[in-house]
Amino acid sequence: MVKPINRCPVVVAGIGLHPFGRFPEKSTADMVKDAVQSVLDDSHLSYKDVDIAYYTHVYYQGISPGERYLMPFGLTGIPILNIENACSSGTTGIWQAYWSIAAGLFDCALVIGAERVPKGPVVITEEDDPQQFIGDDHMMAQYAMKMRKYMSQHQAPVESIAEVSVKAHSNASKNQFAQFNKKFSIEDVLGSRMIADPLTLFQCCPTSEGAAATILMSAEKFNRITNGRKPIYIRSAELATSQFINNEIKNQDQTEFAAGKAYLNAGIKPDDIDLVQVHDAATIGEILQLELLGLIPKGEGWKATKEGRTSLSGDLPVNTDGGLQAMGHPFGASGIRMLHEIVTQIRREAGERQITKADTGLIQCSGAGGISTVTIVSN
Amino acid sequence: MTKLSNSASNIAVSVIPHILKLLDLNGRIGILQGTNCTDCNAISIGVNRYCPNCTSQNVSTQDLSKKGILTNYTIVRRAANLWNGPVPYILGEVLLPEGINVTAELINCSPTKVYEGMKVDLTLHKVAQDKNNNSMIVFKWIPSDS
Repeated sequence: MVKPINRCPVVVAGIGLHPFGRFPEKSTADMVKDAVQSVLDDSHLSYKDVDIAYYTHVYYQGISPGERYLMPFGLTGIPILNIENACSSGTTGIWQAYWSIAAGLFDCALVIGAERVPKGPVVITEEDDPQQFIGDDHMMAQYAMKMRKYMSQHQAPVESIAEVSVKAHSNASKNQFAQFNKKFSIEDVLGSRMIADPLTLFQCCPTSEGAAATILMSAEKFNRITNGRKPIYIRSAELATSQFINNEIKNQDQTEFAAGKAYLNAGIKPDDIDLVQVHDAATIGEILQLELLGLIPKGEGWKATKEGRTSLSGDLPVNTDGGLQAMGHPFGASGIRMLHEIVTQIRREAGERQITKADTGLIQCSGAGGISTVTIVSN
Repeated sequence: MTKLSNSASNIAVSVIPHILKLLDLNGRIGILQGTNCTDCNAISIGVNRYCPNCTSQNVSTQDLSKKGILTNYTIVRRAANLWNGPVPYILGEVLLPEGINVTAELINCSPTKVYEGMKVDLTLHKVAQDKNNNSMIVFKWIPSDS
C-alpha cells in the first residue's frame, strides 16, 4: 500500500536551451554542453550544487551517454540516470526529478535532454524489425487515422485542424530558438505533400536536433541561496501508461488519468490553467490532448482553434513557442523545452510571444507506446 | 479458409507469431489468435499469458474471425524505411465480431474505392525471406467481394 507523504515544495531553479534544427557541425556532446552551461548560468549555480542528474534521450547514443556528456562539468560522484520514454523522455526526467526532491531524497536535480532524430517516418520497433512489414508501425499514419475518425465523429473540417500548424508557425516566427521561423498560410499547410491522408507534411512535426535543460530544487534550498528571486513551483508531475481498451471495455485514456491526478495533487481545476504545452506531433494531436486534459469539451477542440482561443491573444494559449510543429521535436529534449517555455512565460520574458495572463501552466507530453505525462507549473 | 495471395516457397514463418498462427508449412493457411479472459471476459489480440485488462492468468487462447468490417483507414503516401510493398498503400483498421480492432494493409483495393463499412477478409502474404531462407508471412485484409 502506498503511504501518503508530505511533499517538499519543488521549484524550477533554472532553464537552458540549445536551438532546435539541424546542426551537422556540432556533436550531441556539444549541444549538451551548451544547454547545461545555459541552465547553470540561468540558475546562478555551479555543477557542484547538483545532487542528481537525469539524461533523457531516445535514440542510441552509446552506453552511459549521461555520464559521458556531463564529465566536462566535473566528476562529482552524483547519481546519473539515463532515461528513455519515447517522446516523453524529457518530462519523464522531470517527473523523476520532481518526486526525488518532493520525497526529500535530494535538494537539486539537473534534467538534460538531447537528441538527433534521423530523417524519415518514425517507427517504434527496432530498425530491422520485420513487424514493419505489416505497415502499421508508422507514427503519422496512426495520427492520420485518429484525425479521420475525429473529423467524421465531430464533422470537423480539415482546415480547422490544419489551423493548428498555421498558429504554431506564427508563434515560432517570434522564437529565435525554433527550427522554423517562417509563417505558413492555411493554403501552404494543406497544399504541402500528403504523408498519410489527411495529414500533409506541414501538419506533421519535423525531425530535429537540439537540447534542453532544467534544474529543479527544493524550495527550502532555493529560498536559502537565492537573493529573493521569485520561485516558480512544480505543483504536480504525473505519468501514466495505457490501459486496456477494446470495443466493449473503455478504460481511461492515459492523459485523462494522469491529468486527473495532476489537478488533484496541484489543488487546482482545469479552469485555473492559463497556458498549455501539449504534444502536437501532428495537428490533430493538439486538439485531442486539449480535450483529454478537460480544458476543452470533447468534440469542440477544433472549434477552439478556429475561433482563436488557443492563439497568443486567446483565452487559452497553446504551444506559444511553436510547439513540436514549428519549434521542432528532438525527442529527448522536447518535454524539457515545454517547461522552458512555460517558465519563460511565467517570468514574463517571452518578448513578442508574451501572453497577458501567465501564472499557471500545464505541460502534457505523450510518448509512443501509450505514455502520457502531465506537469503543472505556477508562480 | 484464408487465401495466400503470393506463392510461398521453402518453410514459412509468421512475422508476428503470437498474433498470426500459420497452420501449414507453406504459409498458405493461417489464423489470427486472441486471448479470452475467464475472469473479466475481455478478449484481446494475440496469445497472452496474462489478461491485459485485469492481469488474470485464467485465460485461454481463442481463434479469431477471418472476416471483419473496415472502420477506419488512411492512404500512406510516405512509407517507413523498411516497408517493401507498394506506395501508396491503404492502412486499414478492421473490427472483428469479437470486438477487437486489427490494423494491417488493405490490398486489392484502389485508394479511390475504399470506404468505411467495407466487408473484408483475412489474407496471408509473403513479404520477405529471413536469413535462413524461410518465407516471412504477414496478414493483410482484402475486400470480401474481390
